[in-house]
Amino acid sequence: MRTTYFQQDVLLIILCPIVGFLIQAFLGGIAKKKLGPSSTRNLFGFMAVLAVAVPFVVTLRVLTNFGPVSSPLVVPLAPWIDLNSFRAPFEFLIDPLSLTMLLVITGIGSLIHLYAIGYMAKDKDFTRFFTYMNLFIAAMTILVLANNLVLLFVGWEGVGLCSYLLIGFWYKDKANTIAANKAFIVNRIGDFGFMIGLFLLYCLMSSKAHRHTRFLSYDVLRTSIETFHNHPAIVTGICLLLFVGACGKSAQFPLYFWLPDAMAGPTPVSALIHAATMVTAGVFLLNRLSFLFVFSPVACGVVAIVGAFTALFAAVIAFGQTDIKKVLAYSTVSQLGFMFVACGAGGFSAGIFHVVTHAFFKALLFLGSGAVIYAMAHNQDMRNYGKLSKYLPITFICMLIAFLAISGIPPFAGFYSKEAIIGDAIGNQVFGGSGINLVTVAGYTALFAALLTGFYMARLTWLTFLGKEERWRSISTDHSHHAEAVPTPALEVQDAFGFFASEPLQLEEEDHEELTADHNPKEVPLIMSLPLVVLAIGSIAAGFLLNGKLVNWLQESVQTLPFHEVSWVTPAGITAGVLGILVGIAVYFQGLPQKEGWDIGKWSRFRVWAGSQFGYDKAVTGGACASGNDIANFLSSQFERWIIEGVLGGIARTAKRIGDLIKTTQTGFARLYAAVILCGVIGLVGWIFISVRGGF
Amino acid sequence: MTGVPLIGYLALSILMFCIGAVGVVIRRNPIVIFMCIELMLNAANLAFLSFARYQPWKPAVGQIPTVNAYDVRGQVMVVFVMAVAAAEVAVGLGILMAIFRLRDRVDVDDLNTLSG
Repeated sequence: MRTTYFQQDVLLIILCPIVGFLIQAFLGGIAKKKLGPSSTRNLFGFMAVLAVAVPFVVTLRVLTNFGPVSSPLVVPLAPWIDLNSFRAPFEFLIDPLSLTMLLVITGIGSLIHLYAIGYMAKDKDFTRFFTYMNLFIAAMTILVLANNLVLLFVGWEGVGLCSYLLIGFWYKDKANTIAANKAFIVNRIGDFGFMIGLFLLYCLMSSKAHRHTRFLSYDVLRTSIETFHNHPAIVTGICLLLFVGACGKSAQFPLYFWLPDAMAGPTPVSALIHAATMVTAGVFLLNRLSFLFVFSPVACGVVAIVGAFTALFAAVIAFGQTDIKKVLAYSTVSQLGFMFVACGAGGFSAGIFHVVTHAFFKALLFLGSGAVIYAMAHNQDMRNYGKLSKYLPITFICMLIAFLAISGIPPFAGFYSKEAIIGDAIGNQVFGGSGINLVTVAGYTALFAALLTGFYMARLTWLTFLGKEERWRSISTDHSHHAEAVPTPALEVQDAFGFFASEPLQLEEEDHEELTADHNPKEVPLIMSLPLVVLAIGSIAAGFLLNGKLVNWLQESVQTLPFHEVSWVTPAGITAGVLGILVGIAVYFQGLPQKEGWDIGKWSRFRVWAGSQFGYDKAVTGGACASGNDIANFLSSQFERWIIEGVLGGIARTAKRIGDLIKTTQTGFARLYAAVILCGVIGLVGWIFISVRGGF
Repeated sequence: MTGVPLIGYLALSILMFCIGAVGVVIRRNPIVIFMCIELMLNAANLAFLSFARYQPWKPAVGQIPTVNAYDVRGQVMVVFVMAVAAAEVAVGLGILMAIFRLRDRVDVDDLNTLSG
């Protein structure tokens, strides 16, 4: 009875975005022709938000009906893979973890959809944008609600696809399509690990004489503790391979480098997919399988170290960035590193806590940066900003709140979750006893990364909103401002017709409007500032409202390892945040320092090096591309020439020779043919005679 | 059923067939070749007819002998052969006309473009 009740709700949650996606996809183009772009925008924008807001309301209803103490509930919907030895139906799991994730996805998702109506208003592919966005929400709900790993993988790939489509949304710019390809390919590397891990888990589970055929479902996996206990090595392998998948999706160290490039997509996409929801899928996966990870201290240690290194590494790289979205991208990578530190320390639910708070303040940061970019004629370079608080007061206040939240200043949201993470990591008991171990080191690294977080976020805030001068005022006098913004010839031609002079219409790319010295930034419309304000309230309140409660509630679905309290973590965390901010203020109070200006030659060598990701991205992509080229060259010059040409060409030549031989019989003389036919007839008749009569 | 025996008809048929076959092979004028083909077909017709005529009649048990009971399959076959021959000549002469218009001269040995 209870199950059927929840069945309808789950169906509603998943079908709403799917129906929204279908409507946008199939009726969007028709509507634009029939209704005109303006009313299409209003109608379809509204429908797109509705497709996400309805699941949010339904999730709230499920939450109230589910109650605070109920045990996880499996909701089967339909059979899917149905073999004798293995079943993976369409079944969904309602438990604290999936409900938390659902609230984040649909709640923040609908705010960002609302914002995107304003942000994408002038784009001619408006409905295509919302097609992808709704499809993303659908895939993400499947990912978090799935009750088995196979169904989770459907959502996992679905969000990857939507990410690819949305990064390359402005596909006419080649850089965007390259970024989209990069994201997709790097995610495939992660998925490779994920799938091998999945197969290994399948082998482990199917080799046991099991009562269940649904052995990749979480409820069955959770009860197979003895199996995991008896095969520690295999479990470690599975965990590490699944962590490779999580690294790909959540942009952790070896595979992080697609995320900064993913900022090529529209800003609402960066906020929703590449900051708040999709990139947390890796953390979610580790939480879902926490019962597996607790059996492998080695895997936990690796997770923590990789997370801590990523947190530090990305924070340092952020100092070398001048693009406001790139700074936020590296900050996302860094914060995801924090979440993995929590998972590695065994405090999985602290990781989810940080997912929730991070979703608020990072979505807010991205939407705020979107508002800035929108106001600054789509120029993303912080060196052109300065003193924007005068022009964008609402955006400034919201961004300031997010800045304090991400820096870990109480009572803002980030403080509580970050403190929980660092406390878990420093006081961990992953390897049994207490004392210094790998995970503790990760904890200290995270603490230092928290200091850097305050520092680079202060840099962003002061360079953008504060400081002493409005730096874009000096653009025309300083030619070096245009050093990086080389307009494409096609756009110059369009501009020659006075297209943009008469009406600043945004057609295709984000950045073809020129930022000029007499530009006056305007505050964004209400439809864009409303989500900012709501997210700002979330960034203030989410921390102390959920502190402790969320982690307790998640105990029903997430297993955690014990840790001992470290009393000095709270003051240390606050000190790190405050210290970072103070250093940041001291450095950037005056505005843009000389050694971070337009002249890269004046930059310190370390900052230039950090700005280029310490050469990592170049080495990896360059290396992969170069070695791929070499292999392709070898294949084309040697394999193609000798093997393919040799074998296939040989067959072709033989056939041709035979054909040449037979061809000579075709003389074209009709009488000869007749004579041959006659001979044939005589021969045939003779043969019949012989065979019938046995001779003449 | 008097006079000429079956073997006489068959000998004539073989003779006609051979003349036709040799004519097809050695002549170059397509109209003559058509006539020779006609000759071969009619040789076959003659063989059909003579076999049909000389076929021993065996009524089934209890069957009353009427005209309908004669086996006419040989005669029917001849009608078919005539129809086919007429159709073939119609098509063939059409092709011949087309070739004549194209080349002003018809000689089968000239029509050798479809060679290997």
